[in-house]
Amino acid sequence: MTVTVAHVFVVAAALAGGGGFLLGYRRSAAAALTGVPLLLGGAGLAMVGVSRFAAARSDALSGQEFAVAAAVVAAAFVSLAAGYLAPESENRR
Amino acid sequence: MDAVHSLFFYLFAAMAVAGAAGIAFPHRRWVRWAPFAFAAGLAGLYAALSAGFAAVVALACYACVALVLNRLGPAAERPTLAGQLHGILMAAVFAALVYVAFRADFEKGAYPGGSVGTAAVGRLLFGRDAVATDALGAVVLCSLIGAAGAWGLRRR
Repeated sequence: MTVTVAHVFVVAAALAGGGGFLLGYRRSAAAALTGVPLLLGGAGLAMVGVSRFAAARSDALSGQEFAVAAAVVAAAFVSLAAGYLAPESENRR
Repeated sequence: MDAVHSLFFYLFAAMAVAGAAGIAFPHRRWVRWAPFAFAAGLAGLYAALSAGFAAVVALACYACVALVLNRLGPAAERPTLAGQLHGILMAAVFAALVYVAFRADFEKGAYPGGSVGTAAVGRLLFGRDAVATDALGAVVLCSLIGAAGAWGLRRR
């Protein structure tokens, strides 16, 4: 029942795989945009898992720092792309 | 990790994966709530892995992402052959990652990465010059917001 780094990697792979699936499956840019947060969320989760389990003796915080950076990059990227794509999306409605 | 933390980990993992599935396959019942479920699940996973500050930042950032995605709205599309092939490819990638996660020995692979490793770059960015990095990040964020607003106004 206990959690290991392999379990964290499985959840991270599910999230990142879902993001990659969305990026290729959706044809419009606005719909494919939804895959980016999933992709970066999965990557951040893998980094946090490594910093929690595998890198505890050397440097425990670097993975968390990069998870924070990934979250900020996801928010900035989606905001920028939504500002670019929002008029197109409203015209489509 | 004790039983309570493990239970929370699996609970939040189910929430994050369910939110991701709701984003990938939008339905009018849960399309508004799926990004928020993904954000809460991912922040809960960070908290269960003893990364409390990262959990707070991730919750704020991915909640903003959920608001933006809800503003854009879902786009219903017919699947194409290329899209279905890409889905099969990503399923194969997921299976390969799961195989590697359970078969690899992570304890012996302790390569520090040298000067471009995560620890060295983290110390460079957040160790001595954390204020300069934060100031640069604030400038970049303001410029991105301004660029997004300018592009939105120009395209109208």
